[in-house]
Formats: sequence, structure tokens, C-alpha cells
Amino acid sequence: MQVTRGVSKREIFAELYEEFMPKVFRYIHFKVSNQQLTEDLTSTVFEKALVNFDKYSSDRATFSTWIFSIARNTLIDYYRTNKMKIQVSLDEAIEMPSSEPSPQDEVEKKAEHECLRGCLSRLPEDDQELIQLKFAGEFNNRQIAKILGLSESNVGVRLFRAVKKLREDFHESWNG
Amino acid sequence: MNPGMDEKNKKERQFTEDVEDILAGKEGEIDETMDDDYRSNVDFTRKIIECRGEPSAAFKEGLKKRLLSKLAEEEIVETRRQSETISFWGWLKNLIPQNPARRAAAVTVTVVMIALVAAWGAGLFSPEESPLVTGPLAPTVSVEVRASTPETTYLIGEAINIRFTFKNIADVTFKFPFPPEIRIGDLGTEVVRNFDVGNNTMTLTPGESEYYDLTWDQKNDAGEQVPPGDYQIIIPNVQLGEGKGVVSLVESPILTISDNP
Repeated sequence: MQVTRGVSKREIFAELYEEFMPKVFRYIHFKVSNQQLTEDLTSTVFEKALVNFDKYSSDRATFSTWIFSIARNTLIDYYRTNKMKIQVSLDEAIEMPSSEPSPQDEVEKKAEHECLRGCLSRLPEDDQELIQLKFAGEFNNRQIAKILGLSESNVGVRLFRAVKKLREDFHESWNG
Repeated sequence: MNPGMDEKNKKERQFTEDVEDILAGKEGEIDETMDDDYRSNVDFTRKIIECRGEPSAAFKEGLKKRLLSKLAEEEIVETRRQSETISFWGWLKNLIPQNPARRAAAVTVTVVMIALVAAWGAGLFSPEESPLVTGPLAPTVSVEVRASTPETTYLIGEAINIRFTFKNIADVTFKFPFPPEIRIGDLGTEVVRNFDVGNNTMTLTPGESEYYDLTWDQKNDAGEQVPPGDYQIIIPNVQLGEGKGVVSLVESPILTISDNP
């Protein structure tokens, strides 16, 4: 990481944190669902980024590609050490802390979201990754192509199909 | 080009554009020529976006504060280290005499002293070499760990499968967190990859062995390929209660990563 004269490392890191922390949080949340666990894993990602910040070179990768590869590895390590795949639970969804009151429709919305996350976890890994990078990371197709080693046009085709697959599975699960 | 194929690609290109507009908060009209399947897909993306988790303001601020204060501490340490280095060199410069004759004498004395220290370090002044003490493993090692790999030299990017064999060599049963913290480091002091301690527990009765397989993809903690070179496997000792001993890595290969097939 190269620090420009007059701009401190802290200022650069703070700016990147503001832009990317919510995206990394959403990316992890798609996968683990649990709010507390998402916070813990997001903290781990940014602590690793901080420790390795001096080694980061913008000539080799954009910060978004770099931080998301740390996030992916953190998730892989988490699954490895816990030896299980996180299953989405409806109970957990209802217990999730919320500052909002929980009327019936709010509970139903959460259940619907959890059902969608459950369907997402049933998609092939590549499709899950694609949807997470697009909707949580908000990457464009060129960036996703670089991360996943695909061609840009292939990303567009696969994204459309993955969303379709997810939609069909969701309708089947939600409507019984 | 096949017109059917072109139409299909157009649909998928348009889909990407529509999704990116929705993500950017721009709600445009869907092209009228698109079919119901396409419209359902675009509508469904709103549901996906709706179900994204958002960090709370307290978490966002708390983590930011923690990270930036850590960075500030590092900057203070670095500044102090730099000023100490500068003052050390200033002190050393003052020690060197300005007169050429005195400078030559000082250099000679320094060279002789370095030679004496090197000779002493090589054991030239020791009366006789102590015999090598051999015997059983240190009594504190209660669970020994041996790491092994099918090869010791790997091509760059090749997955490295490491088997860890844990053996209880004491006469009591031990329980410890499993898998333990595992690190991959270069032959200096730098650790390139950390595998965190697991949430499980391993129980080993006296004489019992268990193994654990780990695959290292040759990447560092930032997800980048490590450079070619020699690497070692490290397991920090795990204490097994007060005075009961430790889980300790007693044997492990040096792994060579080569870019030369």
C-alpha cells in the first residue's frame, strides 16, 4: 500500500472501510445469516486487512478484489474449523435483534428472507458466489469475471440463470 | 451470428443493466419486448436485495474505532522506532574520530574485537566440547504431533496435503481444543498463513493416536499465492492444564515451493 504525501494511512483505511465494510458484511450475511456471527467474521476480515494493509498493492488488484478474497478465505476457514455448513433456521430469524417492533408482517418478511437464504444455500457453490458478489458486493460483471476466472459475457449468462434457478426454488419452497 | 443466440445474449446483457440500475437505486422501465420470465427475474432481484443484512450503526462505528486506534498505536510505535534509529546512527557517527590516523586505529581495534568475538563464538577458547546429551523427550511433552506430507517439494499453486498425527505419550487422558492453531511460516519470522483453532475437542487416552488432514492451497492470509521458497509448519504449544504438559509439534518437514517444473 502506497501512502500519498499528506494523506495518512489511517485516513486511507478509514475511507476504504466506509465504502467496503457494508458490502463485506452483506456478503458474509448472505452465507451465515446470523447477525452476531456476521459481525464477528466481518471484524476478522477487517483485522486481517489491517495487519496486511502494508502488503496490499493497488497495482496487483483493486482493493475490492483484495478485501473480498480475504472475506472468502475467512468464510472457508470458518467452515473448515467448524466442520459444518451453516443451516438457516427460522427460529434464528425470529430471534434476530431488531430495533423495530415485530408485528406479524415483519415476522413473515423475516421468514420469507430466511427461506430465500435457504434456497440460496442449496444453489451450486459457483452460483451462490455469483449472486453474493453481485448483490452484496455490488461488483460489475467485469470484476466478477476477474474474481471467478470467467469471461465477462459468461458472468451475465450465468447470473441470469442463477437468479432464475433461485426464483423457481424459492416459489416452490415458499408456496409449498 | 445465430439470431436466436443474439436475442438470448441481449436478454442477459439487458438483465445485467437492469440489475445494476436497481442496485444503484435507479428504477427504470423494463423493456416492453421482454417476456414474462425476464420480468419475473428482474422483480425477483428486488427480493434478493431486500433480504440483504445490514450492519448496525453501533457495530459499524465500534469496529471502525477499534481498527483505527490499532492503526494509531502502530503509527506511534513506528515513529518511535524511526526516531530511535536516527538517534542511534547519530550517536555512532559521533564515535568515529575525525582525525584519519585515529580513525585507522579505531577501525583496526574494531576488526580485532570482531575476530575475537567470532573465534569465541566458534568455541576456539572452550577447553573441550561437551558431550551431546541424549535421552527421552522432555517430560513436559504429553501429546506429540508429527506433521507429514506426501512430498517435500511442490510446484507453485499445487495443493499441499498435510497430515498431523497426534499421540498421547503420557499415562493420563487429555482433552484439548481441536484442531489446534496451525501456522505456515517462512524460515525466518514471518507467518504467511494462520489456520485458527477449531471449536471441537479431541480426547486422547494414554497411547492413543488420532490424525487430522489439512490442505494448504499455498495462499497467504490475504488469499494470495506465496512466493517460491522454503516454508515450515508451526503449531504453537498447547498447555494441558497446570503442570500436566503440552501438545507439541515434534516433527515436521520443510516444504519447498518451486516455480521450476
